[in-house]
Amino acid sequence: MTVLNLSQHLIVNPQDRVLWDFAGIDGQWVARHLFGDIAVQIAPFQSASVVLPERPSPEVCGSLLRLCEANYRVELPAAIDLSRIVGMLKAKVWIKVSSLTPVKGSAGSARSLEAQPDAKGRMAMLIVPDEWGCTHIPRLATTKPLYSLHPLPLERAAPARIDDKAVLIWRHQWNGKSCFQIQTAEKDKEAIATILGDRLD
Amino acid sequence: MASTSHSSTSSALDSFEVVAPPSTPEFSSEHRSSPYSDLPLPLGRVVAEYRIEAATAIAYSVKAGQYIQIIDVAGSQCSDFLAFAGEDHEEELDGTVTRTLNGVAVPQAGLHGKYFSQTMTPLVEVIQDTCGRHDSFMLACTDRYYEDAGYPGHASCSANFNVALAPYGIAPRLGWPAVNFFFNTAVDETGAIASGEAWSRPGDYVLLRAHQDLLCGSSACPDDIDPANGWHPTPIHIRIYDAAESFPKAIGRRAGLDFPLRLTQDSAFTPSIRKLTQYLAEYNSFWVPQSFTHSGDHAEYWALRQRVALMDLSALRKFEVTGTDALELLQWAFSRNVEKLVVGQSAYGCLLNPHGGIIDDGLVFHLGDDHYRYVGNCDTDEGWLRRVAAEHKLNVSVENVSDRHHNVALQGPLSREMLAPLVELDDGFGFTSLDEMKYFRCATGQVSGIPALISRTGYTGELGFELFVHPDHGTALWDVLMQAGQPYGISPLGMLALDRARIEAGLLMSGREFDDLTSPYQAGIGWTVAMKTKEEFIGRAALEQLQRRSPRVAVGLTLESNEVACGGQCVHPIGEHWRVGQVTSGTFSPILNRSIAMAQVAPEYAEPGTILEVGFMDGLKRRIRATVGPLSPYDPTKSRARS
Repeated sequence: MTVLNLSQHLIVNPQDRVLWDFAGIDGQWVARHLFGDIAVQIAPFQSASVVLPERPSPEVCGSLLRLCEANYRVELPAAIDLSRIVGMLKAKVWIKVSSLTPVKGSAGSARSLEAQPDAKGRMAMLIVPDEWGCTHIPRLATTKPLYSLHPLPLERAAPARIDDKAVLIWRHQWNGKSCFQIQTAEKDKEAIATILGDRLD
Repeated sequence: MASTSHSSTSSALDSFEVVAPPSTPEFSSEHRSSPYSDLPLPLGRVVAEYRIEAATAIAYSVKAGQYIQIIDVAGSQCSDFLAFAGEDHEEELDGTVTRTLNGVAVPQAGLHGKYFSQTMTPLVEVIQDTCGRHDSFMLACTDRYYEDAGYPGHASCSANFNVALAPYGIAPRLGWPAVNFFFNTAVDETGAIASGEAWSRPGDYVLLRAHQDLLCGSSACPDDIDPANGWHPTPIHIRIYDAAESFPKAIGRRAGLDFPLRLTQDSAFTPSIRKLTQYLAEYNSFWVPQSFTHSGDHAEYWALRQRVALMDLSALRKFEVTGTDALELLQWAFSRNVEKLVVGQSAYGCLLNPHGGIIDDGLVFHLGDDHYRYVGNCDTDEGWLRRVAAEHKLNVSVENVSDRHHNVALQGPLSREMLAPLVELDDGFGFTSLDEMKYFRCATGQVSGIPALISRTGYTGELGFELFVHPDHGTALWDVLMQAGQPYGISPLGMLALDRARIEAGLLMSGREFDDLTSPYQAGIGWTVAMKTKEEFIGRAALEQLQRRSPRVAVGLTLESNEVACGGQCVHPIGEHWRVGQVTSGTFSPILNRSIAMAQVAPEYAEPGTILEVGFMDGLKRRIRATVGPLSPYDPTKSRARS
């Protein structure tokens, strides 16, 4: 993983996890099929810790974030190729990697509309500790009406802006630890990291 | 409710009476003075005002935070509006940006009320609007428009703006893309933009709040060659209010021909709700929550289906029906036979018009000797019931008491367990505890000491209760219920989740499943028509014929796809181009894990198990098969609500 010099606590683009996006007419069906009823019990910009049933042993844990009625983002260990699993369902969804993390294994083999291995359009992930995020993120970021960072509860996300740069702030658990994950365009990664790093120092 | 009648020396303003929301501050005597006798009274402290004579335009400056009130003095008069920000006026209102960011054709007071510039920066925001019909697509009228119509040399708003803006160094344009307030346009199904006479009455206004220091332009449109200004251009008046003022957001509605303008109001529960969400929308002249921050309609829905949820339904209208002929009036006007309702019992049904159409649906509560309460949706119900009473020379009083009874619904499988310890019921209703209160029973009593009418009814398909209290107790009741509900996992519930639940439960919504041209047989509530037990009631003759063969009947559809038919889609027999009905409402049912819809189809295609096709997009591009089933696919026997 990349750890900027600015702070030991800011993790940028961790290599041990990957973000997958899937969406389409059957998006909700796929989410429920893969992750169980919790997938339809969460509302947009809510998330839940999930277990991938296709991999019972060893158990693969991840985090499922709902973005719209039929749009989901899943954070999984980088070793898992979700596109292959979703492809087997023959569902009306597209699936692609949305983080800059390289997918290990057989990426791109799935039946999907946009499962492409190139990095264009992928997002950077910046992760800060939960306690620090609770204190500083609401001061650094602004949201539009409907969303609030004062506070942002656990397992919630909010579209926001930091220094006028678009981010998605997601407070959730990864491997049992709470954190703030900030997703942003790759081009804005350094600027956001610098802002966060200045506060972390 | 504070009611402010704006009397005026001008007869043109006689119809401009405003029923203000309770939160509207009383006007001080200072505010009441105005040099103009043809205007409604000022809303607050005026720092500047301008009269724009007919067929002219002006430019004026406002500071950030100040309010701009654009008043149609005589009615039916359009006023085009421009705004510029920046030292060199380089930012300007951009209609395309505004429509895109808001997702609406014309911003309206509330969440989607801002007008943006080309840099996506808000310039002004709609705070109040008493007309509700404006144009954001067209240019301010141009010289070319009049020239092409055979009127060379006719004044135009764009040319008038060019003159007014020239001193500010703003270059002239052939046509200004403006916000055309009061200009009545609409895009029809073919994409044509139709226009007609403005809907605005004398004194109607739009109140904007400036988000930046602005240079503004306003016109009194000179168009006298078509109906846009009623063929007779008249003045527009601009008032600028102090930035220190605070005006509630509101939309003006007129419920009927003789009704005063009514501004959107908060319910007794809205202050508590506003602490939990900013996502409120106007519904039936109340601000109601759509969903809650950090929650969302799915989570709220599951709280309802699995635990307990609390929702504000104060937008319902309540009418006290009292007197020796109260029962007879309801027997004439209401579809159900309420003769056998005992005190403490209620019945769902509808008010009918002579041709068997549904005027409104609602509940009749029997509250005492010669004392009933009708709870429905329309302010006009009061006048209708009075007319029926007068025609039949009945000794009965009908009074709209909506401002004295605001209500929440506590619904969900744990609602009774949660509510029971808080409730004490009055004597005289035949039961002493909530556990004994059966479906469609009610009693007065107290909830944690708060006087309330407690009714075992709801609009969700779940076990639940509706609690009616005086608005003075609204905040206290909300807090008590939310606090008591914490151990039960209570969630507040917004309209988005409620809509999902009521479609699953096959419950009707006015404007979707029925209007006054729809019979109970078509809407799916034929069972509420007391055809066998009442010899006479309004609409009976028409309904006798409709009962034999309603042109359409209500059914539930389960789609063979996860796509949602959210309303308006055509329904066809398999492979046919001709229609047999249409979808009225639809949703994805989380609990059934299926896309479901309510539809109204020809009776020949209403047999359960019939396979039909729902047409998506243009009705041809994709057809999704759907199976006819009960109107209420979720718990069709209402076992949960009755439990």
